[in-house]
Amino acid sequence: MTDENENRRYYKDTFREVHASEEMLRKVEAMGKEYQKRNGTWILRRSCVAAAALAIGLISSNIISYAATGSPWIITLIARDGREVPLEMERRTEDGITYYTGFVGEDEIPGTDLSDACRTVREEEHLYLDINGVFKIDITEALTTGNHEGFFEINGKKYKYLVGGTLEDNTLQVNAQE
Amino acid sequence: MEDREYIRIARQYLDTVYRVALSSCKNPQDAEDIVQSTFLKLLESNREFQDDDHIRKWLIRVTINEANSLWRSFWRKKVISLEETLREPEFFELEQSELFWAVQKLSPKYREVTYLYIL
Repeated sequence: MTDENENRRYYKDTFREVHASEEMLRKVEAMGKEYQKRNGTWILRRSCVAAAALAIGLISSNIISYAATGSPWIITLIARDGREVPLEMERRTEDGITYYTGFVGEDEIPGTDLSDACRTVREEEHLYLDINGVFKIDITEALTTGNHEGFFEINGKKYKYLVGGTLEDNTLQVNAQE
Repeated sequence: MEDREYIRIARQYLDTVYRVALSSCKNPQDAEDIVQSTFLKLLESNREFQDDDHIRKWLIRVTINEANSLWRSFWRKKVISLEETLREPEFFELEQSELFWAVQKLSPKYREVTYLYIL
């Protein structure tokens, strides 16, 4: 074992001696019971909503900043009825591709192949990838780095998109993946 | 989140959350406030976790965020001496005790980084 590993092990063993009190545990457990009593019905309703996964994969992961303290990335989706839906995205990186995943309610998800239902929409100095008029993803920053390739997934169906060009003159290609 | 699942997570990760909280602030009272805020966030999140590792990382991240919020809070309690209030954990070796206090005396920024490295 290297010195660094040994030190780390030693530090770990040292800090394992620090424990929260039994009283603390009782308080935290009691919080759960109290919360369920007050909000039980609401929790039940939410768990009945089918969780549709919206995953956006960005190869150029430096486009999105992820604070070192672990702040989540929050995007705002525009639902079909015009509501702004803030969505907290989880981030993971696999094979050099960064995926952002969040969950939205079933009533905000279209049901068919979206390949022909996507377009870019410019609003002032922002460019959006508009997905079937349901979601708008701000991809303005992506254009500054050149062609922007990414993925999104809705209800288990994956799509790859490629956006290039500028705010004024851009191209979009979306293909459903097998 | 079901009550049973919440209790399981609380019992499994309370110590981890408490240690991160304590490493971020000067006294155990603040650490306990942070712990409670973190678990309240867990109750409110209705998040679907992939596995226990995901839960652990999420809890740590939220704990750090809550600690940072506490630091920025206008009504933050007056800081009191760590030695006056912290129940000293019992260590098998004197060196461990010295190590623990040495880390606790670091500024919060460095203490937090040190603790996260250890984790």
